[in-house]
Amino acid sequence: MSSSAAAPALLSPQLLAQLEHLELVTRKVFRGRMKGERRSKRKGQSVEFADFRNYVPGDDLRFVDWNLYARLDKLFIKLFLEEEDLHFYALIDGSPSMEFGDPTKLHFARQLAAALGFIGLCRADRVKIEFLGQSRTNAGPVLRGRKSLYRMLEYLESPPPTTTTNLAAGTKEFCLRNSGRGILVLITDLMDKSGYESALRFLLAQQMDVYLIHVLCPEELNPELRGDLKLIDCEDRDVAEVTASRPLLDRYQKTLAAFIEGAREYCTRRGMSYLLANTQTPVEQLVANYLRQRGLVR
Amino acid sequence: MSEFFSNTLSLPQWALLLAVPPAILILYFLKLKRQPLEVPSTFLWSRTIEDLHVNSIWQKLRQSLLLFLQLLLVALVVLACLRPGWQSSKLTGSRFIFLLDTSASMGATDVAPSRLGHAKRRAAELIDQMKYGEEATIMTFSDEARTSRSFTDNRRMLQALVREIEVTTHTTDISDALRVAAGQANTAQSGDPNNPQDQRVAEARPTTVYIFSDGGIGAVEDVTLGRLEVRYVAIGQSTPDNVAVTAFSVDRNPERADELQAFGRVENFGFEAREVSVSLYLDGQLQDAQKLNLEPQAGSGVQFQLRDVEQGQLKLLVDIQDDLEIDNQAFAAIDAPRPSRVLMVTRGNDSWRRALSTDVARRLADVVFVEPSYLESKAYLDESDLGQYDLIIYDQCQPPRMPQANTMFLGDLPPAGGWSREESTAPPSILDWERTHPLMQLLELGNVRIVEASAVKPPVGGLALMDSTAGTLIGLAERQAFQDVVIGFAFVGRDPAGDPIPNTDWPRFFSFPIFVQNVLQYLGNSGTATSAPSVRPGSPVRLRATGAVGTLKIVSPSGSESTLKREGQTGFTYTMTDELGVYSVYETNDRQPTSHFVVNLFHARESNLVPAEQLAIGSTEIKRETGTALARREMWKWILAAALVVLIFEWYVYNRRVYF
Repeated sequence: MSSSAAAPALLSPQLLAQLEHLELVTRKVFRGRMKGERRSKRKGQSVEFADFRNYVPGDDLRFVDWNLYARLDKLFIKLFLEEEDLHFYALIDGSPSMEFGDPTKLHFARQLAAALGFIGLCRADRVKIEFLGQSRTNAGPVLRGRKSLYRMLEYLESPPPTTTTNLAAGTKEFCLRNSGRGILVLITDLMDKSGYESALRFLLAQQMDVYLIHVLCPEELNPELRGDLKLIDCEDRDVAEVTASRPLLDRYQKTLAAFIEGAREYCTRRGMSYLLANTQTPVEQLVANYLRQRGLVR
Repeated sequence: MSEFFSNTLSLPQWALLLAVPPAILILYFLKLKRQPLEVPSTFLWSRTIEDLHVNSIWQKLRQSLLLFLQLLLVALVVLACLRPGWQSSKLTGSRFIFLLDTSASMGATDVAPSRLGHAKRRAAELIDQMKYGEEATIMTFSDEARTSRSFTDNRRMLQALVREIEVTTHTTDISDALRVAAGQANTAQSGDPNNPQDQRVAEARPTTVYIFSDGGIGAVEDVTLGRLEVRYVAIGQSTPDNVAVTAFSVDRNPERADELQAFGRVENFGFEAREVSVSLYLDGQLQDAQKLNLEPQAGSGVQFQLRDVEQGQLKLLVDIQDDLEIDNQAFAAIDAPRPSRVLMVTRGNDSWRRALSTDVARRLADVVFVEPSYLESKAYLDESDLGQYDLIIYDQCQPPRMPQANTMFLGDLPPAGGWSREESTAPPSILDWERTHPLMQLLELGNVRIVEASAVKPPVGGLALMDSTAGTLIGLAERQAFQDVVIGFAFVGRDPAGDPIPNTDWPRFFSFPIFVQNVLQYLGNSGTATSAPSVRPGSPVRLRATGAVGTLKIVSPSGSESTLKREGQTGFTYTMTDELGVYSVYETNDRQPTSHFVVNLFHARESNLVPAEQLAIGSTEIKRETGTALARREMWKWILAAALVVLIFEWYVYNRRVYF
C-alpha cells in the first residue's frame, strides 16, 4: 500500500492536453439543468435550427418566423435545438481494500475520476465526484467549467471517508442525494462480501447511464503466495487460512474469472457497461483506448 | 519375543522410539503457525477455499496425508527394529551334508512337532535355499551312520529323503557319520588319522556339514575334519522336562527263594521337582505302584516285591506327561528257572564233588561227573558241539577241541585260545583277587595255601582274577559267546606213589563252596536264569538254544516274527532290536517261549534332553549356531527400503503439496 502523498500527480500535463479533445458521451438523453455545450434533443434556445410548428396563442412572439408569415400569411414558430449540460457523476469506492496495489487502486480510481471529470469540465458538463460512504455534510462539490479543475483535484486528493460502508449502502446513500440523471461511473473493486448486485440495482433504478470500472491490482489478479498463510481481510479482519499451492492458485484464478465474468454478465444484461481495469494499465491508455471503445468518451 | 521377531533395541531406546508417534500426533494437533498476510479482501479466497471444502471428509483425509505418511514411516522403522524374520538360513558353500540325528532323544516333543520334525523342517528350509549347481546329500545317525544317497542337486529328491527320515530308539554316536562326511569332503581320505594308507588321490572339495542334533553325543575322537566345515544346529529347548527310568532289573530274593525283587531307578532330568507314580505291570496286570518325589536333576530308586511268580513279562511305567515318552517305561522278563547243565571231567576230586553236591548247588545245576576218557567218545563230541552243557569243568585234563559251552580248567590249559603258563618253583602266596567280579564275590582268600601252581597267562583281552607271588593263578578269557576260566593249580596232587593228596587247603575254608556257587551261577548261567538279559536298542543279542536245534523263532514286542539260523558253531545272533520291550525266543515247534530278552533304553544321555551348547570333535569345538545367525531370513532391509520410499513420497508431498 502506498501513501497518497507519495503518489504521482493525478493528472499530468500531457494527459490534460490529451483529454481536452475528448468529450463524454451518453447513450441516453438526459435533461440538463443548465445551458451547456451539448446539443439536446429537446427544442430550446440555441443557434441550431430544428423545425417549425404552428403558432398557438401564448407562444413567444420572438420565435415567430416572420419571413414565412410574409410568404404564407401563417404564423409559424421556429424551433431550435436546445444545448444543455450533461450530469457526470464519478463514484469512487474508498474502502480500505482500495488501498492495495502499487499504485493503489484508490489512486488509480482517483486518476481515472480526475481524467473523466476533466473531460466533463472541459465540455461544461456538470461534474460531481464523490467517495462512497461520503456523509451528506461532506458531499463532493458540483463542478462546472475548466476553472473548477483545481477544486476537483483538491477534493480528489482529500482522504476518503474513514467510515467503512458497504457498496450497497454507499450507493443507496448516493442515489438518495443525487436524483439527477446522467452518466455515472462507479470505480470500485467490487470486493464486497454482501455482493455488488444490490448496489448496481440502485443505480439502475436511477436510470443513469452506468459505467462500472472494476479496478483490480496485480496482487488480486495474479497473487503470488507461498507457504502456509493466514490471509487477513483488511476491512473486516476476516481470516482465511490457505496453504499456497499451484492447484489452489489455479482454483483462485478460476474463482476470480468466474467473479469477473459474473459481474460483466450482470452489467451487460442490465445495460450497464463493465470495464475491468488493471492498476498497471496507464490511465492515458485506459481513457484513450478502452473507454473510447466502450463509448464513454469520444 | 516370538520367533518371528528379534529385539534389537534396549528398553530406553524403545521408549525413545515409541515416543516419536505421539510426538508427531501432538505436533500435528498443534495449530499450524501460519504467516499472517493482509489482503484487500478474503472474499475470493473464501470462495476458493469453500470449493475445496465441499467434500470435507476427503479433505480432512487429504490434509492428514502427511500425518499418515509420517506415522507409516515411524511404524516401518519400528517394524524394522523388531527385525522380523523366520527360521531359515543362508547357505554358504556349494556342497552340503545335512546330518540329522535320529537317536531316541530326537523323539522329544519339547519343540513341535518333535525334535526330529523340527530338524527336518530346518533342513528342508536349507535345501530350499540351494542354488543351481549346489549339491547336497542327506545323512542320518544314531548309533550308526546312514547315507541316503550320493550328492545330488535335485532338491525335490533331497526334500523327499528328508521327509522319509524317522526317529529310532537308538543311542547317539556321531563319529561314524562324521568320518563318512569327512571322507566326502576330503576325497579319497578316510578321515582316520591312524590309517597309514590314507592318502589323497583326488582334489578335496570343501563341504559344509549341518548337524541337526540335540547334542547328546559326547566327545568324538579320531576324526579329522580336514576341509569339512561343521555347523551344529542345536535342536530343542534348553529347559526340557523329562523323567526317565534309567534302570530296571528283576532278581530272586536271596533270602526267600519264592520271592522276586524288582529294582528300578527313576531320574528327573528336568528343572522342576516332580511327583510321579511308578507302576509295575506283570503280563499287563497292574501289580503295584509307588509314588516318588523327584528333585530336579536327581533320581530315586524304587523297589517292588513279587511273590509266587515263576515267569512273566514285567513293565515299569512312570505315569507322567513329559517331553520324551519312550524312556518312561522299562521292561524285564522272568524266565522259568532252569537248572544249568554242568559236566565235570575228573579222575576224582572229592572237594569239588562235595561242593557240587550241596542243596544249593543241586538247585542251581545238574552236574554230571565223567572220567577223562569220556572226552574221546563220540557222545561227548556231539554234546559239546551242540552246546548241550552250560559249563564243562576239566580237572587236570584237556578236551580235543573247545566245546560250545563255558569252560573251567583246573590245573591245565585249554587246547586252544592262546593260553600259556609258567611253572612255578615255589609255593605261591595269594596277593590279590578281583573282588568285584561275579566269580570272586564274597571270597576271602588271604589264608589259602597252595603247594604247586603255575602262573597262567590269558590271551589278549583276558582278565586276571587272582594274583599271587608266582603270577596270575586264575584267569578268564572270552571265546566268542563263551567264557573260559583257567585255574593255575590243581586241587588234588599226586604223591610219588600216585595216590591223591591235597594240593591246596582252599576246600577247607568257607570261601570254597561260595566260589563253587559263584561258578555255577556265573559260568553255568543259573544265576541269570530267572531274569532275561537286557540290551540297548540296536545292540545284537547272542542267543543259545537249549536243545540241538538249527533255527530259533524270535517274536518282537509288536508281534512280528523272525527266524534265526545257527551261525556255525557260535549260536545265534539277533540284531533287529529296534523296538523297546520283551522279545520271546521260541525253539522250533515249541509253543511256549524257551527264553526272553528285553530291550531297554537305559541311557542317561538320551534321557537328558538339554541340548549341548557345543560339540567336541577331536580338538575342535563346534559351538551351536545361534538361532539368528544361522537360521533367520530377515526382512528388515525390505522394510527400511519401503520406509525410504515413504520418506521420499512424504518429502514430495510436502514440497509439492500435491493434494489430489
